[in-house]
Amino acid sequence: MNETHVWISAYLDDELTDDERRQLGRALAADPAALDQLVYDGFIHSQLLDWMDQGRVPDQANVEAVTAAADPEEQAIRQRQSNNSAPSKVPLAVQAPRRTMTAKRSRMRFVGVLAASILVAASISLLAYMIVTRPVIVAQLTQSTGSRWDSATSQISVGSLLHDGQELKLLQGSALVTFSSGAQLLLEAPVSLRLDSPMAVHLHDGRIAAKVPTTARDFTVISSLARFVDLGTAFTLKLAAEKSFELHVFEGLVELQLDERFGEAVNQPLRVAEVHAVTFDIESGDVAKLEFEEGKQMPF
Amino acid sequence: MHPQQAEQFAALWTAAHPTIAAFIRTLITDYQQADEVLQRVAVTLVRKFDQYDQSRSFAAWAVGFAKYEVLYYRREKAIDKHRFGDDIVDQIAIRYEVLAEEVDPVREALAQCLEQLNGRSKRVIDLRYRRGMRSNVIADELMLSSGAVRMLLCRARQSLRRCIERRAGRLERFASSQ
Repeated sequence: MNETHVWISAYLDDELTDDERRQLGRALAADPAALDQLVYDGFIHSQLLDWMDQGRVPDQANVEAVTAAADPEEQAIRQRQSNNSAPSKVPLAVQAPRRTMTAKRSRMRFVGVLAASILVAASISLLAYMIVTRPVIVAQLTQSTGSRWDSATSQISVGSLLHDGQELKLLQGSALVTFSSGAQLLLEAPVSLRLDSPMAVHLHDGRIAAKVPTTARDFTVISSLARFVDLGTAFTLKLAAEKSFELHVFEGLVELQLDERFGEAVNQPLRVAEVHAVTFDIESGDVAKLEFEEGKQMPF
Repeated sequence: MHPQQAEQFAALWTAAHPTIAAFIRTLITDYQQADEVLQRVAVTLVRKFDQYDQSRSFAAWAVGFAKYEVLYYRREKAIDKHRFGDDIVDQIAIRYEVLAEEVDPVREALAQCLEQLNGRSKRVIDLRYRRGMRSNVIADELMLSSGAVRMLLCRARQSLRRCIERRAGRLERFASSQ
């Protein structure tokens, strides 16, 4: 392994000094093989970062601690360090003279090593699994008018790609989200929702309009009060979180299913046809007809 | 953008994302800055999608835009100092365009090679990427010097690279692309 290899590795970790960076630049200009290595290592590094970015892996802090004590290679490195004149970081427990291990201690050590190995192997397997299951792009912001987003929402603008699980909170203006399924949602502030998949969103609060082509039939809007399954249609939905909703269907059909907490009697899917509207209020606990208003349609 | 175009773009972008992200992170090593440029590239590609020639590789087309976004960003943020020259950026872009053609086998190979890592290499990769630790923190955790951790990370990456080469046989393609 030459210096260039080490520089490339440290460069990717953003840990090169200015002088090392200059030397790496010269090495890359002179040696195509070094460029190949940079690209390869850069790709590996990026893939691993994508996994890390998901952060969905439970903490297994003990794994490293147990393995550190058990890994003979690690101990060899520490031993070499302790032999150097530089101040040693090796803890006293490692530097202390070894005692003869009893059979019991040997068994405990073996079990510890085995447990650590299993945990680390599981961790790496999970890492490998996560690499091939990165966040999925489900939609895109395709229009925006006078929009202002909540600061907690990542800065998005027209063209931004939106992934599954992404929370959107529009404080002002309107915005059009186009899903990869072909469905389109028009958001009118104030509104907050989560993108679950190309075929589903979770509406927390606010007013939306949906335009769903036949290719995206069964597109679903989920809320705490009910599920709205679009059967190839256009509708608007106004939700006051945990209180009420109003649904206006302009084309096609929407299948509405109240949350089960409202009882079996209302837990049957209700189909709302075009030019019809319904309302629901948590106090009444029932769906009621509402006068259909063409003017409730939100222009796409 | 029409819904059909949006759907097509989303599919192409999803497939090209690993290559584009890697290209940008290779040239901009600060994670947040690289992410910002990645988002800019996505926006640019959407705006230019009408110009995309479908007979070409989408990823290769996208790398071209990513290159200009990277160069523009570096100048905009005045982070050019001690960065690689434009000719090296061009060379890296060419290599990523080639890599884009076989990115899936490389990713699959990487996933398999990760499972084969063992000993210190496995531990240091785990700490760096699963726990998100920087070298100095890893050094404290393992009670090693920073230099030793640097070497461990370098060796771990070398192990992964060699393993991928054996499985996916790629470096020859890079060499022949020059």
